[in-house]
Amino acid sequence: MIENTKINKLQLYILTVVTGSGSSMLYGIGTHANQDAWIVVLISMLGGMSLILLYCWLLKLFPDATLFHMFENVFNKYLAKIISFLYVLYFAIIASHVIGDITTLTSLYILSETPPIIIEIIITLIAMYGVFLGIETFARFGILVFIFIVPLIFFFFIGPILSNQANFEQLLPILENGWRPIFKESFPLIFTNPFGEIIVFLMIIPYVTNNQKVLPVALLSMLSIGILFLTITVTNIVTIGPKFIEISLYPTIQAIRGINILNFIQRVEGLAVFLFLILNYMKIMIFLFAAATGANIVFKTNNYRKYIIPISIVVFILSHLSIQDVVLHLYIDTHIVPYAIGLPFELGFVILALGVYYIKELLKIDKKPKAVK
Amino acid sequence: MKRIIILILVVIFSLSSLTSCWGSRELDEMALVSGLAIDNHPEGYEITVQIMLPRVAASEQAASSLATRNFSEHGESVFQTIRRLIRRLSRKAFFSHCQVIIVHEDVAREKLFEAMDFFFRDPELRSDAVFLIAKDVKAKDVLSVLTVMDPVSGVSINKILQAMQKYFQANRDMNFHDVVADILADGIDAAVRGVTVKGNLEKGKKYEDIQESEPVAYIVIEDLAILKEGKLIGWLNEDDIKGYNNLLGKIQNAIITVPCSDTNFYNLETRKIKTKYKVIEEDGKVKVKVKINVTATLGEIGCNIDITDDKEIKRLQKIFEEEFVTNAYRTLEKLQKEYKTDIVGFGEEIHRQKPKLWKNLKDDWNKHFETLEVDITSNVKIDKTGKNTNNPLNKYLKK
Repeated sequence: MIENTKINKLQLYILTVVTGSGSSMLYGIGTHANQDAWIVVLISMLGGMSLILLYCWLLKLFPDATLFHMFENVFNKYLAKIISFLYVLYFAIIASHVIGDITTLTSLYILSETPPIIIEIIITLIAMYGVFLGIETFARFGILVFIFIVPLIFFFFIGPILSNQANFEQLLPILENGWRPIFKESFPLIFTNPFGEIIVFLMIIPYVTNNQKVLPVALLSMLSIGILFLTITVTNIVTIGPKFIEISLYPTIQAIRGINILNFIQRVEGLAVFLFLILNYMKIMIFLFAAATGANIVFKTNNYRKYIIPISIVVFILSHLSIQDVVLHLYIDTHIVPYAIGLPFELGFVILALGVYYIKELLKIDKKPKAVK
Repeated sequence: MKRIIILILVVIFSLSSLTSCWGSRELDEMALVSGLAIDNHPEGYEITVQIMLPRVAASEQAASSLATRNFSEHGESVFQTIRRLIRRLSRKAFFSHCQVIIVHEDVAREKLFEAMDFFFRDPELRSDAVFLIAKDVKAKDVLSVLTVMDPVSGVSINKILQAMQKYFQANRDMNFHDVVADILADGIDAAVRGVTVKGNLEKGKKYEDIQESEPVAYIVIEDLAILKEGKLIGWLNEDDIKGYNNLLGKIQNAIITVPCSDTNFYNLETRKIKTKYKVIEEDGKVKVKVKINVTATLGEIGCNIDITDDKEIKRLQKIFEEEFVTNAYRTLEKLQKEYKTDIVGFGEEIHRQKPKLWKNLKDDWNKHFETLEVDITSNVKIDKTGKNTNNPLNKYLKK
């Protein structure tokens, strides 16, 4: 069933951070909260941390199990199969979404004449190859990404401020329209993506050594993601301004375009797009991996690799459908995915599973005294 | 053995298919645009692009022939016209290195927004291009004037603006992005620098002009266009710009001149101007207190004054403080009475400091701005005097 490969805590941390900081940092976060977007990030981060607590609670009840094994324990056999299968689809949809995001970005900024389908095919093929090699391999790739690329990306985020074009007054006034727009933006939109997507790690937990003590690591990675997003959001607001963020498709890239340090480091957005692309590979690979191992559990086979190709084909087709129309893609991203996919899969089923588990426990306690009699 | 053969095949396949030639463009085959001008035309717009000629720039004959050529086309919309240029250029114009965008004042009066959308939408165009409005001359003529210090006039204009921002008063760095950010923001309207051509324009376009020891035509950055709700409504002259800059407080280096007798002047080089705003509410009415803090170096003394004396320096500081305040008031009055437009951003300050108050004023801010009470004070500190203290010829100067 589960192969005897292990990743350590550092690798888990890196995978979490890289996954969390995937495609969503290209889009502005909390744009409708205008200059208060950074508060949205902080609140969503707290939401993400509470999610981690919830997941770890579940993990404590079922040690060494994936999410799907937990469902099998809690629900009846067929219901567990159906929910698990839906989760496989969910992982595939998120993977296809990320592919769609970075394909649109790449074809807009750096490969404008290459047909998008070519970019998608290449991305999917490489991600497939990574998943085929297994989690240990791409966890090690994650370290490489983390050492070289995350600091660079971080530099791209503070670069616009270093370029002397920041106007920190744009952060004022704080809480102009009260708390309502902030909560509206953070839940469910930012709460589900990027923070909620961490649920994918319930599929990877059994591969982690000593996996009962992951709570501090998970919380730390949430904090790191939060800091990363806080930096982007503040940079975007103080450099290109809240009004401009609202009409930009990729405000982060817009801010990076403004980097000009001493007339020496400038015009770096091509490099930035390329680095975002590499960073997002991690996310695609993790979700593909989760989908493949998930299918392996659902169909009770013993090798997840045979599911990689069919799932990748589905992912590829979905991503190709999603990039046909940028406006529709954005609409689905902000209006449908958080409600229809994000909330039930990242929060709903987990709470349901916990609830059913405790109801069963209660019933057991009720039954026990009778059995003694 | 089999493994090695497969490996070699994979390497050959990858090498030949992944050279990333798809849509590649060589540098010498690109039409690099260094400047862009938009004029009015009965049909819509007339658009002029200035193309750098890399072949000329790279070769030895660079000094003896023109480094750029201008191409014009007209059409109904900006994008259509730009693509129409392909008929003349034989390739697609490449906008990533565009240094300057010049719009004619008539276009700015009538349809600036309509003309500008393309420049945001197109991912090639960068927001660091300088945005200017051509005054009295056609925008294409500004690009046609040959410049001496830089062979490419688009680059030259950009450099003039950068240098002015650093060492000369009366300029606010205005790239494309800043203009739109100001138009979008609540409580501030945009202001854009004007550009014009002085001298003999017809001769200035010819190559012989560069060979004259004194250029017959040259580009001048002057005046400031006021864009009320995105439409040009008038100009501020150089004197008014001083006051505008003082109110804005973003200028580091400006030369301030005050007469000390009929023909002589004190000159001050400011090193830092920082303007602070304080919004106060007095029985239902908004009042803005502005304080202009200046740190400066003494630049030139034309009258007899003993600056080693602390009292005299204090007196000098007072004179300059008055100058700053009167300049600011004069500009403010012009903005309030004549143009009825807030290009300084008083509204923005009220928005930031008193968001609740702003909600009532927001809808017709420019109307409220007309009657806004503003209280301007200034504080000048002359803390450096250059190499000397007193003028060496002090005793020969008039009191």
